[in-house]
Amino acid sequence: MKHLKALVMMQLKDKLDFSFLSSKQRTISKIVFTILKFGIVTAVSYVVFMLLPMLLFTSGRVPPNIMVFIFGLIFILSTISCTVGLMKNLYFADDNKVLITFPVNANMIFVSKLIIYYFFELKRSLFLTIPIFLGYEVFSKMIGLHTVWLFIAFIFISALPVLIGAVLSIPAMFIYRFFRKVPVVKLLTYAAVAAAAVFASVSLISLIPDKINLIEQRGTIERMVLEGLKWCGDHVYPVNLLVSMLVGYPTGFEYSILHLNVLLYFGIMVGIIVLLSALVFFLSRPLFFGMMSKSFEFEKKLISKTNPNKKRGVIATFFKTELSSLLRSGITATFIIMYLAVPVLIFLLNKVYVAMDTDTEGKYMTYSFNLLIMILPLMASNAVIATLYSRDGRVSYLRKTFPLTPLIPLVIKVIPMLICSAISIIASVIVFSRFVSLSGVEITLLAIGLIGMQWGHVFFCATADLMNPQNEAYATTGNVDDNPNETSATVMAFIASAIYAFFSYVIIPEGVTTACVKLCLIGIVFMVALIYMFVTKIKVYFYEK
Amino acid sequence: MQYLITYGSLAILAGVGALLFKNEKGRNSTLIPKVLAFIFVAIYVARYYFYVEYPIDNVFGLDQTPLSSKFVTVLVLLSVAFTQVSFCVLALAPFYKIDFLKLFAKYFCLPAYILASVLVPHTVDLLMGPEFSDYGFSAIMHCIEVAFGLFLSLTYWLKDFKWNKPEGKWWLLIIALFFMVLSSFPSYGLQVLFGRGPAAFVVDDFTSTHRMFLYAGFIIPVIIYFALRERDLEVRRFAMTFLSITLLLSYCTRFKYTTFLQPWYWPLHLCNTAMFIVPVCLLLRAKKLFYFTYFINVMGAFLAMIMPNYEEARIFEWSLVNFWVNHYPAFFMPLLLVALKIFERPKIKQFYYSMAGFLFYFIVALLANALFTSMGHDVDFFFLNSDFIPDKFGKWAEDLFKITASINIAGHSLEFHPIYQLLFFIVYVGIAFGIWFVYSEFFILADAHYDMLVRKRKIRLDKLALQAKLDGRSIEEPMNPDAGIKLELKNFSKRYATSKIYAVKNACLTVNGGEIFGFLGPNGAGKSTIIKSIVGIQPITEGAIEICGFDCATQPRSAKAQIGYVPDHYALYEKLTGREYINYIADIYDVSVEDRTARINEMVALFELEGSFDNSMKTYSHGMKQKITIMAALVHNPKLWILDEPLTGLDPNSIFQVKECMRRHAEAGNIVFFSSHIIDVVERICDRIAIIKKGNIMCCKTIAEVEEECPLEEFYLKTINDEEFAAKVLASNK
Repeated sequence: MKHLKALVMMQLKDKLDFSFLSSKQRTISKIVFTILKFGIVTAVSYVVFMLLPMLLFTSGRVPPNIMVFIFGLIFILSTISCTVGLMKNLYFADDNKVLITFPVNANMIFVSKLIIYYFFELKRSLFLTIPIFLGYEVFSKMIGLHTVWLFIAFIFISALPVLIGAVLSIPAMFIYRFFRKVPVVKLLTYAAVAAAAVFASVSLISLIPDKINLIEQRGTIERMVLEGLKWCGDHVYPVNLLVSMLVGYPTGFEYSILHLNVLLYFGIMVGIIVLLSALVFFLSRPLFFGMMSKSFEFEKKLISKTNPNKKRGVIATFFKTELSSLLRSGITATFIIMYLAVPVLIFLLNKVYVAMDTDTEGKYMTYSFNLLIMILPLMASNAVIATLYSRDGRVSYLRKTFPLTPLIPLVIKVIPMLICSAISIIASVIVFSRFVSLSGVEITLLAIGLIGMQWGHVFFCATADLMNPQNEAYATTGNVDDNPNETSATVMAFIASAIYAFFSYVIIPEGVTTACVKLCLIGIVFMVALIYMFVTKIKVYFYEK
Repeated sequence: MQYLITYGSLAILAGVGALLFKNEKGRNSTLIPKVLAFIFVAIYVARYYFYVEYPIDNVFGLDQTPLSSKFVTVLVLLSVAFTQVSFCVLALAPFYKIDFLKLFAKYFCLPAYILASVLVPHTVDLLMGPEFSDYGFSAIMHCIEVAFGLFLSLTYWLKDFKWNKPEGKWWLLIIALFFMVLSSFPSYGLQVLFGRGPAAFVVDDFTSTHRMFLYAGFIIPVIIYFALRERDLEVRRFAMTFLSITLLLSYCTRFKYTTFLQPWYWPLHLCNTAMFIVPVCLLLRAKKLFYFTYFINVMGAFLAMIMPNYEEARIFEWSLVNFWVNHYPAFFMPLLLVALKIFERPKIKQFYYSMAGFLFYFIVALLANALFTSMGHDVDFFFLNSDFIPDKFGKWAEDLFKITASINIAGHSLEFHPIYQLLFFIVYVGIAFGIWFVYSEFFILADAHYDMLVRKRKIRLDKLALQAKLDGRSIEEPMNPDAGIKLELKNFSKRYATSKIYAVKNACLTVNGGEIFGFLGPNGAGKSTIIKSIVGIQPITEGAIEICGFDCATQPRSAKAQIGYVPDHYALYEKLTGREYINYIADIYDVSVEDRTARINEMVALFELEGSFDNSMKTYSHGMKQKITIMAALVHNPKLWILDEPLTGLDPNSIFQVKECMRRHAEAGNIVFFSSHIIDVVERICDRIAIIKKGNIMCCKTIAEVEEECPLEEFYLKTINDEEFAAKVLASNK
């Protein structure tokens, strides 16, 4: 047990910041903030449940199935997160090489990894799921024994996504390995999934009726929501069972914890946990041992065909190298998802807006909100660019030794993002123009303005990374938690996009064309200023940082 | 006629006074001007505040002027602005050691006062109305002021009676003068010149005209900041004092002494107080008071600019102009004073002071509002007494405002809005605290920009110096064309960032072509620092490094083209294959396909990478990655091959092959410069070695020279560990 504790603590300290424990003051403030966080989520949850009857449910009661829906959603997301995390952490983690050398029982290493995930799951329950349930219970006046039971039950429930994730990580690992061996299949699968997602989204959005009147159609909407929730309750039986165990068994208008059925459900859950533990022990554990010694050797045996040497120009070679590195890295997916999602989101947004009956002020607001949605997700995703050079680790130092201006490789590195985001924005503006009938000139001006904002922010992020590089951290650990550059990039994304959208809201009453001209000019000025800063800072500081 | 007599006598007195003052020397020469400046201020204030009526308020356009000629009206308005500039300059000049102020007094103030002298009757008619022409008190004070101004500006001429030719950027002074006159232009000026202005331009509710005014509130301080940030502190302080005083004078145009007898008319609104606080802080250097205006007034002014409280005033109207003349400086002056480093950036202590000041102000405003309202006056200091602000936030705020409480004191019923007022205070303090971080970010931005500018200038100067050294030759040519294959460190020193400690101090070294040079030293001695500076990873603090005649600092590209570098930690694009990576490096160094193919094939065979060269490098072992870095360094056949501890992680066979490569590379006439901790290898392979300790190159000897004394390992250990021996070695090296 001592060894297990040491292993768990070592891995936890690697993932979490426990430095606050060294200071009494910081410990107290941490505790206060933790309680505050819990309180805020509970309060928000309570307010939402309080508002629901006013906005939607005419009966004045919130149907219990809504908890099935919410808990089901959280549970599925947790399971996916655990599956992916455990797949990487159990079978492909670098620390396996270190852990295997420790004089401990190998089973303990395996268990310690599962405990880490259980700990994170427990943390998630404590700060998200429990407060949501607590909000519901306060709203339903079920505080007291219910609350105590909630905390006890989640000690067990939190183990479920970890154990299911551990089992599912086995097929996931094989798929992952297959994708690594045959990248074409991976690419095709991703493309197919992306296309299917876009198609499904567009199809679903197309189902939105042409006219939406929330007041008149409240009854219809309520009926649809209730039917949907009922379907959830009927078809997601295991989740329904868990929720019944958590909130209690219905006895008339109340829910009782002290009921035989609750005990029965609890027993079933414990049984499932035991069953899953056995499965994990007999299936996942042997594979883990196999992969621990194999993970960094099996790939060596791959022998590719010999390729000829080719000469390229400096720009072409940088472009090819950077593009290859980017495509072979995980961050590409973040960008692609965002670039595809934004036009779809705009389609959805406008489908809803058009169906709604809005006055002139409302129309101005929809224009501005559209602009916000067009740039905010893209800009927020640019936070990854604030780590782009640092992710190269020590290669970034090598870049300084090249006999050419550093501007070339540094700019080329962001070009794919610039091009793809511009395409995404153009697509979004075209989608938007279908709903609000913009002229060709207005579309062009608006697209240029938005591209200017997006490109400007890309260069802002790139500059942040250059001015405060984290190469060593990425070279040694492969990741940086709380990267200050990412934080400043995100903050800038929110501020810049919010100001831009607000400004558009202020000027649109002057006429759409005038507003487009002004928005275009602002975008261009923003971009030029930040490109100027990027170029100048490279000239002045690159070799110093 | 009365004017002529009064003014004539005063002018004669002024002339005589100036002549008497002309020869004053010693302590009096600095004291007397200051005393005179105080007298001048007293005269000005007296003249200013003893105006009784303002007929000019009712002049809307040149057609309505009491003067017969429009031209004269324009001239009078200009003269008023000129004399205001002159007054500020003459009153402030004795307190600042700024040479151009003397020139200003001579070439601008004197003509301005001569013009004002000529226009005295017209000025009195326009500003005070024809009824005052019959010798009113204000008219007499006006004459005295002009005569005194004339006298003060004459003294500058009499002390230095010669024509000063304009020097340097004299046009900057003209521009400065233009802006000085602009800032001193009376707030009623536009109304007199152009009338009320078109009704279409509404400066409220975020209309485009209102937005223009808001933008100006940001653009003006930026312009002032850029115009002043590189001037001396004295000039910056003067400029800001001038601006704050001249704007205060414009703002106070309407005040008269009777105003001060009625406290309910006092300018106790937050932004009004800023107009007075800023010049006082500048003149008296009152820091604590300044931080009050910094945290409190700026925010208040900004909110007021967003929600102006004038009613239907047109664009040129006095009340509108006065509003902006009041709020612009209240908004940006405190920020500018910190940005221009006239006042320090505040710390938490200053924030507490300002909040204590704010609490005091808040209580005074509350009591004044309640008391004067109970006395039947219409007051609303800081908008605490009306629903002006609740109205902007909707019904809930109005409801809060409606909650009142009354106290009866000495027959006065003092009414408060406790919830609204308490909330107002808390929100304001919260915003003030929050806005602190916004200011800080802007200052960091401004400082960073300035630092960048200074460095850019240095780069430009270095480039010019390089061009001068090259004496007409191309920048691609070596600085020293006769150098051949050579690495030379000339008094090279390196210091990191803001550290005061040198990582390497005054290093001198020459390595010639054909040599294998070993670089020895303990961890942290400075080996990697020197190597990283040679290859261009970090800049040089002092001294120079030349590679084959190219200067590393000023001709980095040409210098780097001569180098092949193997870093201490392998650095590779691990997602590429070995071949892709080597080709990538070869492309950067422009190696032909034939050459690269021959070299790659040779090295792949040498390092036994045939089976894995086309695999992704992330599948490579540490040794394989190190081999790839060595290949990358050699693919362009560099004249200088630098290896920073290259043998770490290599198998014995590869170590042997690397050593062979080094020998062959040196035999071809190139330099091999490598650092290592493996002394046996250094001893066996190197021609010469250098030992570095705590940033100093202790010695630079051939292996034979070292071994004359003792084996290299012993020599190294003694140099590093034995201080006495090290001192001897260092002395012999020098």
